[in-house]
Amino acid sequence: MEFMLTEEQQLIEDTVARLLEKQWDPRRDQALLSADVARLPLWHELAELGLLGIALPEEHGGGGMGPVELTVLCRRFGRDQLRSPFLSSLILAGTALTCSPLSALRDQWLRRLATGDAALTLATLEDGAGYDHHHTAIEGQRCQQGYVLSGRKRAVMDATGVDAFIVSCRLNGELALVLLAPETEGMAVASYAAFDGSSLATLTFNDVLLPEEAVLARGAEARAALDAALAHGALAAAAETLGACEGALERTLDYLRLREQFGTKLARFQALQHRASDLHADLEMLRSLVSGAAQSLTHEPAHADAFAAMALAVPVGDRVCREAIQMHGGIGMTLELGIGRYLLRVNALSRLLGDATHNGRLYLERMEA
Amino acid sequence: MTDLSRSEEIRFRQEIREFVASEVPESIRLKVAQGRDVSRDETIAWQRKLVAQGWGAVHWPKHWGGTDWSLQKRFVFEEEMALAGAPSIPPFNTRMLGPILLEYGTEEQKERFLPGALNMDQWWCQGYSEPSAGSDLAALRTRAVREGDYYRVNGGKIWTSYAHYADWMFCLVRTDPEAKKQKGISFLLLDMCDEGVSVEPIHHFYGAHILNQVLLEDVKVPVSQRIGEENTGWTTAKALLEHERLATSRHAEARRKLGRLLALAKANQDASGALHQRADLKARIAEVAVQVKALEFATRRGLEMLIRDGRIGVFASSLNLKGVAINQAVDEAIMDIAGVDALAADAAYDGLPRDLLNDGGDARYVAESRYYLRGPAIAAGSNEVQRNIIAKHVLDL
Repeated sequence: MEFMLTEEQQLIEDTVARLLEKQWDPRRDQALLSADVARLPLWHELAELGLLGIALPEEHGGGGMGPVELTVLCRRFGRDQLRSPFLSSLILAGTALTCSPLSALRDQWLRRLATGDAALTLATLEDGAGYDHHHTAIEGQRCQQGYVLSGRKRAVMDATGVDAFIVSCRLNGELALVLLAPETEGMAVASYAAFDGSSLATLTFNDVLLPEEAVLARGAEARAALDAALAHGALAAAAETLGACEGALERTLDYLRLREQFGTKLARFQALQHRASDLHADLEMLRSLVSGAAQSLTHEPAHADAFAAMALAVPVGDRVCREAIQMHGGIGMTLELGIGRYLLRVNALSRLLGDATHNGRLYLERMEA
Repeated sequence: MTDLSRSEEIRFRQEIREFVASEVPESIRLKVAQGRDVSRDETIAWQRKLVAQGWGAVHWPKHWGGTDWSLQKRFVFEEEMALAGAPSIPPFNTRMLGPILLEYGTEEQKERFLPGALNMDQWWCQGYSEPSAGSDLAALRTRAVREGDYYRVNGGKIWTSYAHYADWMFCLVRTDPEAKKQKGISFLLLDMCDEGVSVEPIHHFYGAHILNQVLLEDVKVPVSQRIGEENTGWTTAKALLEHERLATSRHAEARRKLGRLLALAKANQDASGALHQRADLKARIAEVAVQVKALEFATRRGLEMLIRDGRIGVFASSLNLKGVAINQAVDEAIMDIAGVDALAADAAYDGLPRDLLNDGGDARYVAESRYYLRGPAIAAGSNEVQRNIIAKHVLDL
C-alpha cells in the first residue's frame, strides 16, 4: 500500500491548489450555486488541464487515472470550499457510465464528459426511501417504442444546465439505468438551493417515453454500475469532508496561536489544547481511512471500504467543523469569517451521500458478505 | 518500498496461520480468544517453539537468532500472529531489552544477556515507573550510588508488569541527583534474586494480578551491568520506546476482537430475534467496525512512515490515543452484546452452546478483557500526556 502521494499525484494537487488560489474565492463567490460553477472560466481550465476527466477511461479522452487522484481533487475542493458539479457529474454520473456495459451511448457520453463538453447527473433517490439510492418504485410500462415512466426523483444534484440525467428505474422487473435529456417531454425539473449552496432539483416524470436505445444498463450490470458510482461518491464525499476538516482545523489552530484572552494566548489553555489534539487525532484516522479506501477502490470499483470512509467522515466532519466555530468564539459565527461554511458543506454531503448509520450499515453488509 | 510480493505475502501469512494452528495448544488458543492472560510456563513454552522455528525475535539480527527481515515482513509477521490468535509474548525480553542491548550494550553484555532473553531462560521486567514518577517518568528518584565496582540502589518501582514472574529487571535509576531531571539517569540491569529486592503484588480492580511494586533496599548492582555511559540512561530508554510505537495501536488485536463481536452478535438473541439483526445493534457494530478499519489503515500508514523516515514522530501519539480508544470501543460493544452472559467470571458458567465455546464466541471473561484494556490508556504516557504531545506539535508550543 502507498499512503504517500506519488510525484505525479503531488503535481496534480499543486496544480489544482494554484488554480483555485487564482480563480476561486469562496467569500466573493458564495452566492454562486454549485451548478453555476460549471459556467466559470475556472471550470474550463480544469477541463483543459484534463482534471475534470482525470479518472475517466483514456480511450474516451479521460485521464485513465483512478480513485486516489479523485480523492486528491476532492480533498482540495473541500479545503478551498469549492462546491461544483464535480461530484454529481464527473464522479457519480462518470463512474456509473464508466462501469456500464460497453455501448455507443456510453462511449459517446463518456467522451463528452471527459472533454468538459457535457454535464450529467445521477437521479436515484426517491420519496420514502431515505438514503437508499438502490430503491426505486418507478416501473417502466412496456409500450411499442420502449417504455413509459412515471414518478419522482428527489435531491438530484446540479440539475440546472445538465445535458442528461442518468435515472434509475425498474424495467421488466429488474433495476435499470437509463439516460434522459432534460427537455424530454413529460419531464419537469424543479430546482432549489440547499443550505450549503448546492443546487438541487426534484424531477417529475409524467408518462415519459423511454426508447429502448436510452437504456444504459440492466439487471446485475445496472446494479454493478450503480454500486461503483455510489462507492466512488461515498469516497469522494469522505475526501471532500477530510479536506474541509483540514481547512477548518488549520484555520482554528492559527487562531488559537494568535488570539489573546485573559492576558494569554488561547493556545496556552490546556482545555483547548486537548480538544485540538483530539481533533487532530480524529483527522489522522480519517486521513488514513480515506487513503486506504481509495486504494481499495482502485482494485475493486465498489469496495466496501468507501462506505467505511464516509461513515467515519460524517461524525468526524461534524465534530471538527463544529469545534472550529466554537473555538473561534463569536467571530466563528459570522458569514464574514466563513469558517461555518465548512460545517454547512460537510453536513450537506452527509445528506447527499448518506449519514453515518447508513454508510456504516452498507460497510457492515459488504464487509460480511 | 515493499520487498514482499503480493503472492509471497499470501504464502507467508498462510505459513504463519498453519504454524499457529498446529503449534498452539487448545487450552491456550481458547485463553487467547477469550482475551485472558496466559501463564508464565505457557508463555515460555510458546516462545521456545518460536525460537525453534527461527521466529523468536524477528527484529533482531540473524547473528543473535533474529531474521534480518525487512520492517514490512516483520509487520506482516506480527500482524498475522495476532490475527491467528497466537499468545502474545510480553515485550520486555525481545522487543524492549533486546534492541537496547544491541544498540548500547558491550559485546560482553550482549553475549551474557541476549541468548537468555531470546530463549526466556531469564524473564525480564521493566523498572521505569515509580510512585512519584508516573507519566512524568523523568521525576524518578530511585537512587544508585557508585561504590567502587558496584552501585548501591535504594528506592522502588511500581506498576511493574510480571515482576512476580521475573528473573531480571532492566531499570532506570538516578545516578546524579544534582543534574537536571533527564540528565542524571542511568540504565541498569538488576538480578531479581539479589538481596534487598522484594516484590509486592498490586491487584487490578477486577482482581487480576499482573502489576507489582518492586522494593529496592541496598541492592548491590555491578557496574558491569550498566548499559551505556553513566547518566545517559534517558537517551537509552527513549530509544527503547521508539521501537514500540507502532505496536501501541493494537490494530490486529482490535480486528480479532471485532470477529468475536460479530460471532457473539450472531449467536446471541433477545426476544426480538438474533442480535445482529437488530437495527440499533447493527449501527453500533458498524460504528466499531468502521473505526477498526481506520485503525488498520492508520497503522499501515505508520509502517510506511517508519520505512520511509525511520521514525513516525508525533503520529505515534495519535496511534496510541486512537488505538486505546478503539480497542476499548470494541470491548464495550462486546460486553453489551454479551448481555447477561458477560457477568460470568469463571469457567463454571455453562450458559452457552458448546460449539460457541470452541469458536471463540465465548462470552465468559469479556469483562476481564475489557477492564484490562483500561490500562493502556494510562501506561506508557496516559491519554492526557499523548494529547499534550500532539498539542505541542500542532500548536507550536
